Amino acid sequence: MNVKTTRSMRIRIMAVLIALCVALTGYVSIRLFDAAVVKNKEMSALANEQQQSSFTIKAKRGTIYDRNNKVLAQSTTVWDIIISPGDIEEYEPQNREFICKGLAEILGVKYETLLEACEDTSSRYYIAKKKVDRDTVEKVDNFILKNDLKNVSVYAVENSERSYPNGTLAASVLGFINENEEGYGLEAYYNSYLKGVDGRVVSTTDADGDVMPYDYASRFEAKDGNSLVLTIDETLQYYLEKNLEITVSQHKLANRSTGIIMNAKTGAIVAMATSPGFDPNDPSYVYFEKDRLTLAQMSADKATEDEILKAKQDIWGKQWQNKAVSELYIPGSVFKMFTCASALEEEVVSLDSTFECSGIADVAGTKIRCWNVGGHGVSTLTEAMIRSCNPAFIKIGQLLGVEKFSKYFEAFGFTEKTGIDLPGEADSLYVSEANMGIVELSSSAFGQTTKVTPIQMITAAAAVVNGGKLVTPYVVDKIIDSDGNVVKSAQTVVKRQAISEETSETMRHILEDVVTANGGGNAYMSGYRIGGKSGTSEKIDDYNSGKTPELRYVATFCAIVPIDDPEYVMLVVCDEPTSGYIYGSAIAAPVVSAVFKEGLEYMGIYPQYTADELAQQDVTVPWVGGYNSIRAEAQLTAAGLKAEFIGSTDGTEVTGQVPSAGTVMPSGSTVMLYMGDIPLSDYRMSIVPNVIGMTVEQANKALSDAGLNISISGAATGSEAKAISQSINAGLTAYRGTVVEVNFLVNNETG
Amino acid sequence: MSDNNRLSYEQRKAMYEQNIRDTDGRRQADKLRDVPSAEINGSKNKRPSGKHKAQRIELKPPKPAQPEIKPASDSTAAADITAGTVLSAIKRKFPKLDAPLMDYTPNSKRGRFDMPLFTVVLILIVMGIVMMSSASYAYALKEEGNSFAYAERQLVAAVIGFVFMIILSRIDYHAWAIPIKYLRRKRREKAKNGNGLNPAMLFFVLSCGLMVAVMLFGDSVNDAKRWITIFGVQFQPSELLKVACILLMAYMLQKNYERRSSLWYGFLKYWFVIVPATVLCYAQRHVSAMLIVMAIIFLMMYVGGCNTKGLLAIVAFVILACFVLLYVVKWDYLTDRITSWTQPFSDMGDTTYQTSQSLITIGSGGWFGLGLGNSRQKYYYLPESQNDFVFSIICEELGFFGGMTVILLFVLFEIRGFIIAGKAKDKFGSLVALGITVQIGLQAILNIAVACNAIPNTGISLPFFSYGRSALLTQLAEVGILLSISKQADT
Repeated sequence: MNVKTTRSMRIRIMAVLIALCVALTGYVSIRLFDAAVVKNKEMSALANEQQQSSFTIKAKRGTIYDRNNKVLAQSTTVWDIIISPGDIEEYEPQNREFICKGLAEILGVKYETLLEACEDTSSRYYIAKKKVDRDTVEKVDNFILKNDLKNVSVYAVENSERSYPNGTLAASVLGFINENEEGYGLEAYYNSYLKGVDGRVVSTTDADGDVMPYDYASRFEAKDGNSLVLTIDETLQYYLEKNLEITVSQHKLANRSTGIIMNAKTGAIVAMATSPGFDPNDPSYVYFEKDRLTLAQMSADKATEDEILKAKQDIWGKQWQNKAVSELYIPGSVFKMFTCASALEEEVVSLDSTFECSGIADVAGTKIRCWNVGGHGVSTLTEAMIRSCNPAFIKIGQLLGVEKFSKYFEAFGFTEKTGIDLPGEADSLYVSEANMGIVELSSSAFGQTTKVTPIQMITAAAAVVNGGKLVTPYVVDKIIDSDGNVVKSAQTVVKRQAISEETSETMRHILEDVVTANGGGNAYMSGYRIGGKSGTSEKIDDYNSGKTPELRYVATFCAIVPIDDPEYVMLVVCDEPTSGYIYGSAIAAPVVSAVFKEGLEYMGIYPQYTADELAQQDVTVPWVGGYNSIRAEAQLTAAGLKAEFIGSTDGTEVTGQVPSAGTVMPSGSTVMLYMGDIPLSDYRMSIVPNVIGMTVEQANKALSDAGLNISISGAATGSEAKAISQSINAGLTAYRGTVVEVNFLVNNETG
Repeated sequence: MSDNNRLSYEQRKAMYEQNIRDTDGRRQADKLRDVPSAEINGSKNKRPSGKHKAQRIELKPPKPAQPEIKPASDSTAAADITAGTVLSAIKRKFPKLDAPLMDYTPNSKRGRFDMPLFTVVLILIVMGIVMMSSASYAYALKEEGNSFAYAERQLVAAVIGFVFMIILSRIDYHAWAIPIKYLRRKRREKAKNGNGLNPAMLFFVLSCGLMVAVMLFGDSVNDAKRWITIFGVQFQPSELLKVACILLMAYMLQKNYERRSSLWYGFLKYWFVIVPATVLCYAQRHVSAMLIVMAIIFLMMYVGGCNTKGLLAIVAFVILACFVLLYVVKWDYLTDRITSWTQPFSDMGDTTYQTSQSLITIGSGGWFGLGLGNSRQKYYYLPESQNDFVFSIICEELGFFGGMTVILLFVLFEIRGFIIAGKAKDKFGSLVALGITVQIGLQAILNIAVACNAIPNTGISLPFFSYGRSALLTQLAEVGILLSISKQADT
């Protein structure tokens, strides 16, 4: 018997070897290559996903400052209280009710709500309460510590909250942003700068969640957001908003008002307001009283919830919209300054040209009325501007022709967005050159056809007076990083030269004349050289489409100060006044005047009085009590006042004076001085006359006849102004010499 | 043995000139002339080497006499059947065959063992301990507070195993197949044949006994009892059973080689080994061990030249069984495994957790890995990272190249093992070498295949790498036997 291995055995051994080493190993090697090399990226990603735990370090959102570095918007740290129902179930199910009860008490949340949430044990992240302060967090911490609870069951997570310390101030410019980074205003427009970059701590953890003993942890620091320094001035913004608000309620504006103050040379927006606005701290509240009433009416009418929500959303959409850039309006007569400037630039008219107005113009069969039904007769160019004569501007428009009118329309930037750094800028509506016929040209010439945004309007107005340069308006002066380094700085961008410097100069004179005409319109302020133009447009499209029950108006006023070397342009647009007044000079001009009165000196523009104006200056009554007659008279004369003595002047002293010291009244007024022992009951009395409806001269005469002094308020002292109110009602008695404040207003389209 | 015609002129001239005389006093040249032609044909495979090996082979004892196989008795004798006649009939039917009396030399120092194999094994052991200590680092730290607790124990086992390997390599492997009564040198002369109780049989019975003992007294791990602690050493008897099967099968195959084509001797007889081994493994729910034992036995039978019809029947049966289980019975256990295999990320939380984590681990490595000791998956993501999935950690730390290095080391081991099997001195050695090589190679490649999801998940450990002292000891002992075979092999 042979014990040796045989050849066939060896062949079979080879077969097994080949099967095992070549076939099986080859197959496995290919699978290994596939698993290790081909799927490398995919598997590494899966590995990282399960091994790496990372938590986010929230970047601090940048602050928004006004131009004097006053905070307008900033982020503060708050905390969210988190409950993990899954962990409660895992570690301490017996404490569930106790935890819910304790938290309900601390957080002021309903116990039942918490308990219900805690019963969903599949969840590990339930936000019990959002945005609580440090104290609450400490209370929760103490609650956990004291009762020996697990800190995985309940814990606080850092979050941040945006706060706007000035509430409604500049809300339409600042805007706000929600968690999905959708929003309005600068917060949305500059979100990429403001939000910063969140940091992360990435660490590698084992399957139990503990950090591995390797140096895998890497920390990516958060990069805090950049801050914005605006061109907005908090103080001027406040003045603007305050006065707009007064107008909104006084003239019962149905569609809000907006105001802009812009640097005429640089395009920097100094103030921009929409009134009524909203408080970005609580943007969903309805701030416009009219809208609140609408909603209340709807719920009283048993409207469905969906309907109310839809109405609410419409209201919110409007409320959060920046009227100055996102809404269109018909510019009306303010537009005449562009027609005028274009015509002067093209030399189709000169200052000597004359225009005739019969109160109605016939353009290719279409009759266009002048606001002054009686007609203005013959006017020069300046007079046509002062009188805001429509037929005159129809004529000027026709003289210009479609092509040139369209050329300047485009040159003044009415066909494009201004490019202001705010979101939602609207596109203007206008008749293109190709479609413009004589009727469209005529109505466009006095601003009754095109629809533009207030920001387009003020930018173009700046170009008219600043030497013809159309600039790009801007709100953000510079962007600074968290260390204070300037990241980006705004530059004045001159888009084009719309008109020549000479034409601009002429326009400045015309616009100054508009304000000072007839002794001063509603925007006139003594000591200041102000130019401007009012506008009253018919919202004919809304009326025709049935949006408004009756024809409504937009009252606007555009002012430039100082007009000889323009620094600031201001535009006020009051949409749909329903108080009975409609004219821009009556509604919008007083806003301009009031803001200028409060703000011009703050803006660094000081009054320069002419001799005439100085004579008409208001003076403060000095204290003359205890003086003898000679000294008292000398004192009053020095102050520009007259004295009238009652009682013996011989050796006696002044014991009483009307009006009292500190009262402001026009120079040349009379102060009653009571000499010696005269009881109060013996003081001379006067009956206040009715001066309403009188001109300044008439009112002055009536009051001085009654032995009273007049103090003129409201801007106008010109011949067109009429008294609309007096501080002491007619028929009342007052001490002789008392100052009665009379408010005058020019209630027509002049000025 | 040499062939006259194949001797070169120079060889014959040299022999002649040297006039070499063998121990029996006859000249080599004379003997060559007197060799019967049948014997020349029967051993024509043996080519003489230039180193006079041919003469040494002549030293083997004379061939034992062929027993006379009697033809089957007449069928008429079956009429009056008694117990005695049945027994004698069975005896006639299955005549006792003398086992070949193999050359046995205690502490044989005939040649050097196979150096390449020894080197490969050394590299595998060293690399295995290094990688296992890295893979077990996290678990060891967590469970025992000592990051190298597993590594230290494995190292001790490796040292003991190494000594064990050297001892076994120095013991003539024939000792496993020589009847115990002839093991002692002075009794060897009396031996007529190799029949009788030999260590291989004893070892098999002992292993089976331990397997039963495990089921009764074993340490329960998970839901299966596979471990038993004897004298403070915990081990897995299934490891021993595999070796025992190899030794016993090799003995039986060698003994019955002449009748290998008969149904009984060439096929059915081996079921006395197959059935207890598989049943015992299955009873322990040790399916992977069962499959490996079956595979080894099948391959040994195949190489041993067993009844072809029987082997084909096994293959047919396995294919049919798989088909029936998969498509007819739709056995949930099996279909679930297949689903987990084809969609390893379908149920990461539960059934495919191991496989998906293993794939993530291997995939993290890429071409060159994260660096030695830098595995992250060993931090409790990959279960059994020091055991069944140590290969995944190797791939994560050393990349595809590290993995391929391991595979190539095993391929080298296999090639050397098969060379030893092919060149072993006799059929017994050849079959033992084959069994051992197949066992280690199969376990390695199946473990790697599981790690990279080339086959459905089964719990097979990676030889020399996975943590397990009894397994390492057994594997080194097996290598010792392999080395011992290589000493006498014509390598």
